[in-house]
Amino acid sequence: MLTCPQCGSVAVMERTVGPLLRACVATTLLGTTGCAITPPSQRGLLAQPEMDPALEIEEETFHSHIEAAREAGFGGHGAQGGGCGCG
Amino acid sequence: MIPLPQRRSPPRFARAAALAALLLAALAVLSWPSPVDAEDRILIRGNYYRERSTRVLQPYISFSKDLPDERLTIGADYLMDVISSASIGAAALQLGGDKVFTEMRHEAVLRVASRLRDWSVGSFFRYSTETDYESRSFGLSLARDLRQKTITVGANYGYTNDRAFRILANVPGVRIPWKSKVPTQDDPSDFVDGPSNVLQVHNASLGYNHVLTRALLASLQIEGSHARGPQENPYRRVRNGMEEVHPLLRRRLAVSGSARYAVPKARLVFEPRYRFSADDWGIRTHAPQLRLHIRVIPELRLRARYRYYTQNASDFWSATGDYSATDRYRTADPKMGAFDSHTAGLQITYRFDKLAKTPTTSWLRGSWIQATYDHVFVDRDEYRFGNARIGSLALSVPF
Repeated sequence: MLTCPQCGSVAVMERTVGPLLRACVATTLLGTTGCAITPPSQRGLLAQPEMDPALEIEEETFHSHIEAAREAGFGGHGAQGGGCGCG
Repeated sequence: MIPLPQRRSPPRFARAAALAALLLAALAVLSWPSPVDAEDRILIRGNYYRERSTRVLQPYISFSKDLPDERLTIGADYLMDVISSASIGAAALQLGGDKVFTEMRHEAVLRVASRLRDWSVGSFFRYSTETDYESRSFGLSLARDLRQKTITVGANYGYTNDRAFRILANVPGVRIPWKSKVPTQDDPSDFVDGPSNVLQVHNASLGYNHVLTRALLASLQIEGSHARGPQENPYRRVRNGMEEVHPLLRRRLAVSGSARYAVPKARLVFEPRYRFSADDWGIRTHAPQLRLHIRVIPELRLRARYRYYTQNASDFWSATGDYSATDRYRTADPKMGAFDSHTAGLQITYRFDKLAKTPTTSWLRGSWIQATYDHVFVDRDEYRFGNARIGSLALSVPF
């Protein structure tokens, strides 16, 4: 349960986040059950560097660090950690 | 004087058992069937960041080595932030005058990962130190490939233990623990030191990647964060001179999704992204982004990106910057207010494969060089950080 520390607005948080979580779960379930498997012989395009998110890990970490100093949002870059007093 | 307790050495059999368990685990990993050969790699990056009053230069080096293949991979990173800031406004009073000062942050990371058939596990430890902040983090990750490797589901957990300090009178080495402030029960205008200068952060995430077609890859991620401890800037003050006070507890949730769609004949890849985050300080953020990858020639790739970011203000943000003595929380942090920003960027990557055809340059095979520039535009004067210029130059060489 997410509660705002100032006004105790549980409902506002849950009203905002709840539908998004439900949408994610629904998309995940659809994805795992509704799609045909792409055979390995047809994955040539997927092997291109621009289709590989793992090649951008260091850049994502750098962007994540900058965004943490400039913005109040978080996430979207994979697992994070570390600290900095530059905010 | 109270005598210190003697450290008791662990029983000999316990140490032998621990050593045997470690050897057995290593043998189990190495006796697993060998997957395809992976490569060892070293990456050198120089990052640059500049905004209205701060400039950061960041040399970074990272290496990873398979022992002997991807069943066991170790890695280490080191980076240094050289931060030059102009101490402006109230911070100048705290730091002994309005001038440019430079500080450094060092960060080191150790990584271990293993891939065994459809399972991947990983772990890291990170240590970061600067003049008034220390951070220690560790993390664990677990991922599983499903449906002939067209689906990957993963989970990550990270714990961070940070210690905040405040430098006194701008004298290096003279610092006190920064514990934030909390109001007393009896008098809301009377603030006392918080319980500790330790900020503890728990991060957890669930990820899902899916090869939907031969040209379409999609991913979803849910992340949560629970932070308890001092979370304001010890030097920054609000307009009427009072110290910042932020809540000690912050809980955040983020949902993000992205897709990569390849258009083979056009040598294009479209990559839309979207992230939503919310926290219990009342802030909601949206960040849609579009990336376009273009392969000009086999060795040369371009990437253009545009990102829009918007957030509302936190519950305790004051548009005028003024607070009364009885306000429980006070902030002068520009990122606690509402603002929008636009980021436009260009990246160019060149692979050296064509140059690596002679014996003297064969070591360049698989190497690449990359240059990136991003510009952040913020169209709100109250946002004190202003626009930003972000650049990097990277060289990656396998060995």
